[in-house]
Amino acid sequence: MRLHLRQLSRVAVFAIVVLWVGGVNASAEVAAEEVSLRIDRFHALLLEVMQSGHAFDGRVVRLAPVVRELFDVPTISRISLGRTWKTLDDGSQHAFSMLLEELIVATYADRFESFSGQSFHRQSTDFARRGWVVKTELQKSDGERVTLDYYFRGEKVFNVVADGVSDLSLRRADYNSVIKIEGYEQLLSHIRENIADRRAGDADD
Amino acid sequence: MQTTRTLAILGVMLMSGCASLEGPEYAVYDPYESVNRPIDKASDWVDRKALVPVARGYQKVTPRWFRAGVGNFFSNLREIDSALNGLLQGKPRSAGTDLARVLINSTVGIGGLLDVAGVNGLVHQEEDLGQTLAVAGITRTRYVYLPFIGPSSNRDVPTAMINAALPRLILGSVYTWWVGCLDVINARAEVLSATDERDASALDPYAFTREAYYQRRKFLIFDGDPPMDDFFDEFDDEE
Repeated sequence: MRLHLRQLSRVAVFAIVVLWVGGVNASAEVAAEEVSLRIDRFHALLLEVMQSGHAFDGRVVRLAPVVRELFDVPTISRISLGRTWKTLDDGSQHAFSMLLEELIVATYADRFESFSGQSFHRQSTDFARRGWVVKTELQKSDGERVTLDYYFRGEKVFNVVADGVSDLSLRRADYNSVIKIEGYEQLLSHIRENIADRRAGDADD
Repeated sequence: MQTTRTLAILGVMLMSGCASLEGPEYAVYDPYESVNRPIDKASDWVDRKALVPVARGYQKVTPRWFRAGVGNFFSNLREIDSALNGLLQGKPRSAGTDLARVLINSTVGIGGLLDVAGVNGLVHQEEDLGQTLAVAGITRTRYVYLPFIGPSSNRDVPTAMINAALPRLILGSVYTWWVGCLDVINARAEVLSATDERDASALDPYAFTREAYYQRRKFLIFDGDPPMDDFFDEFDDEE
């Protein structure tokens, strides 16, 4: 009887381990599929926006909700500002995140303004130590290829790496340099100017 | 006096290039910022006033196939350096690919004007001496902004020199001043869209370019596949 119980407990432990590992694998597969689909949908939207012929504001309206849902703007904001982030109160942090979200949307609306045969190709979805990485490629009409890797923390993207150059690292280096030389208020002013320039550039075209 | 001082500082910077540095590998390290920034500013002024207008005009009056041909021609002359460095890094396949490209493009590709090898799947491997030094262990390097050439580092200055000298060495007297001008203008025209995008995005172009330079070099050192975890680990300080 004692032997029987011992065997049963071994079977139970084995079953738990199998179920746990199976569950982890299953959830990992679901997550991989989910993050891949999110990027596919985002790329489909970029193509749609480019082909739509909408003016800048029209493209912004289409892109804004998707950018908000896909990108972890509060994390991007926090990392971009470095030590300055901790010196801001909750209201200022929120205001900065809103401004950065506006800039990200304006940047996509500006970069993906017209269609000339571009296409996106998903290469792989890999799990790094702390999140998913969806590797994709943008093929331009002249055949030039740019790798675009989307780094996820949880369900949202916090970094996009284009041909090995991290958007978040550039932003952090750029913003911290401006803060160091000109101050935080000037950084806000530059970001607002950048958004206005992108809108004005579209009007000039 | 100012020129002598600048040259002296540049000399010290280059000579100390191989000195061991501390800190994270491949990270931005710019102890010469006070020298680099004015050089960057002056180079940028000349670039905007002289080179960019010429490059835009060149882009407007020449067809794409012409610019591609010129780019292929000069790239072919420099590719032997890539083959050699592939070998030095212990990558015979990479070296073989570049060597095959040079042979095919120099003959079938009419002296390098056509990238016949590329069309047939032999892709340029983009190796250079700076990457070889990084593979050999020099993964930390000081940022240097070279006048009228652009971003570089102690480790990568020889690469910039080799790139500038190779066409002249190979072509000899054929490399006249106007051939040199064509090389420079065509190369500038090829990166116009990249620098336009930088100008549209960067709030401090100096810091932006410096960061992009280090990341791009790391990307090339790892043959286009840097460790994914690094893009997570890099931001640990901000947690």
